[in-house]
Amino acid sequence: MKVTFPHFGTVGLVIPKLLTALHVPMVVPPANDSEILKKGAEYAPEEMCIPFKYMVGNFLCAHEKGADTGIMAATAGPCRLGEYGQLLTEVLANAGCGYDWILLDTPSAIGAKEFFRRLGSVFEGKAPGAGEILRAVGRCLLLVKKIDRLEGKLLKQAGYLKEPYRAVKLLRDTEEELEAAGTFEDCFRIIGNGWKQMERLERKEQADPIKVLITGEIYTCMEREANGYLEEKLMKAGCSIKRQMTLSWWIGNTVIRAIVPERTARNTGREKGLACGVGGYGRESVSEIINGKGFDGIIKIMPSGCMPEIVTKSFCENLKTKDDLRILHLIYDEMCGQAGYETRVEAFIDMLERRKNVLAGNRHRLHKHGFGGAQ
Amino acid sequence: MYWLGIDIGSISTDLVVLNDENKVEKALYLKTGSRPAEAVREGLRLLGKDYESSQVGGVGVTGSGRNLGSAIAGGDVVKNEITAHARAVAAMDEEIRTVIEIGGQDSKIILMEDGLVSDFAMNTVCAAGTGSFLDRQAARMGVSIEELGDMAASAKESATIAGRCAVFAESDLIHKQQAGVREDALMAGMCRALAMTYMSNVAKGKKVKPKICFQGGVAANKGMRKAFEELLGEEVMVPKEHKIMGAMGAAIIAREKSSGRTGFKGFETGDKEICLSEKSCGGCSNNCSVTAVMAGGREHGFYGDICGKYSSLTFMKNRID
Repeated sequence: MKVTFPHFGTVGLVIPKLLTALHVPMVVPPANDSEILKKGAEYAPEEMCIPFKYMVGNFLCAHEKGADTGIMAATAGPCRLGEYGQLLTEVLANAGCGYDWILLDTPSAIGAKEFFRRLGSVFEGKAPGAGEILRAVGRCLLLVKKIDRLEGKLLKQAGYLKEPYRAVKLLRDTEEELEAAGTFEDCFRIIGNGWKQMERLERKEQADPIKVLITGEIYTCMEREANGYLEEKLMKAGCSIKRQMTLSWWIGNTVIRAIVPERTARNTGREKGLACGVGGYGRESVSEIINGKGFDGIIKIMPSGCMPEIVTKSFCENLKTKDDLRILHLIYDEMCGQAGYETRVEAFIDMLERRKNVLAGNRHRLHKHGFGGAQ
Repeated sequence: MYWLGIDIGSISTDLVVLNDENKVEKALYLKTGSRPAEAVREGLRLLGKDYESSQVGGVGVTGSGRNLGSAIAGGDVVKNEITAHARAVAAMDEEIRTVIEIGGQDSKIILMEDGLVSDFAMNTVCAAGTGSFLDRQAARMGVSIEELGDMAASAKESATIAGRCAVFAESDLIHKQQAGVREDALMAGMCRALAMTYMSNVAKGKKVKPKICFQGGVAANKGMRKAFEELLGEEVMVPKEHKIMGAMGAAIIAREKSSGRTGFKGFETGDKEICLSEKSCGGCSNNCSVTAVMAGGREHGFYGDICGKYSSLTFMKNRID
């Protein structure tokens, strides 16, 4: 048995280390690129959302490399992700890739016992001891946290650097090294090095960069290929960025959701905006837009055909006028040319920059906390 | 000092020379055709007859071909169309609140407050709300685009045309022609259909406040202006520089951001033969495809690299020369 999984942001860096530590044979699908999307789009239903097409591409390529068992987290939720498991099974069978599936639906949908039974089937009855598993999972979670912390810091720091391009390069280099690394220890060392290198990057004096919040649909936010390397473009333009959706955010959010009922979260004031869930993480992204302070602008991204984000998009149109926010919506599709995105992102940054310069000293600059000041 | 603005669009390439008071000294409106590099070269050659290279204080380049234009002319500022258009409008009249810009293949709406952009939108996946729609229909009906505008503006009534899709609009037009609808009513209907598509595809519920400024190549069309006025119930002004607003904006930004030195490569470039070649860099994992501009057989400029390894190289070399 050879296990494989779809790419999803840093998942592609972390899961191989976990599976290696647990001695599970696996195949890592090649990193997402336009070829993978093309492959996936060939077999996926045309009107399905982009993440699905990437995932089909991932599984097709992994099959060529010898994978025969697919792990897929299908949350049985109110957005189309709930259909992914079933649809993947059928689409790949039609494409001639016979896969055994380990579909990790949420424990609330299939029961905890069934969940762990499915999870345990990766070991084929040769499960390592509970201690070893817990240890590996613990280190895996720590690695997720560490990667996200370093990345978050780099995204934020880019605007304060003399040459923002260096932050992009460091980010890419670190990820390449992490991908090549074999064990958790190597990864921790690489991340440590990353922090040291970041300290050495030359800073601009008295920098006051444009601060941008990136939020929206989680897959598009986390998978750089799916958003046309939006973060890198912004970093190079000298923006300081915060990306809400990360793997550790997702894990944290899932755990908190399981413990704290939604009503409590609403009462703490953290959750504002949409009166009810609209599927996906639509509600969370709206909440972040309302609660996030100190951003000059917000870029909200989604793949074409994303149901939850279509609802939040119209909601955010009202926020624009009501709360005087600058929000740029970008919808990614496999049919779109790059030039249009570039023009809009550039124009958006120009708009924020000019507003900031001209309106210097007024309310836009007062709410600074929440996103750190100049270092 | 003079400031050069270049706007390389899908249909036209405009060059503008501004003086220190932001007044237009000279403007050129050339057809881009399928060879944008040629259009820029020709523009530089024509301007070279009236101006000296040393008189130019800075160059701003905009439009979809801005990177190419910058590599040829030696741009100091490379800006997107939205920023450039907004800047030109702000310099012209601070009271303008809405800018409707319709070009050959794209259309934009820019909302302004006190001369600052507050929101904007651009057509994304469809060209039904752009000038090429009118161009195509005018060609089919056998009139020039100018005649179409005049006929539409003088029409007493307008036919209803389904304008959401450019192809279906054509079917609808053929149907209305067969039904014996007058030609000028058809043309007025077409303008109205384009204006409505623009409002639903591009403006999408944004509040259009007066003053409204209509610019871009399509603004020359009187029928379009009339259609927008009827649709919005407000006066729509078309500035006399409507065709060259992008280039003007680029020149103004170049003037504002001027550091006292310029990368301008001189009007002499217009006399040289220009050819383009593409290669992949391979210097890092980005593997950018870099386009090299050769003028008169010598390396002239580069673009397409993300890190500036090539593009800054020629720029620096130029300064030392």
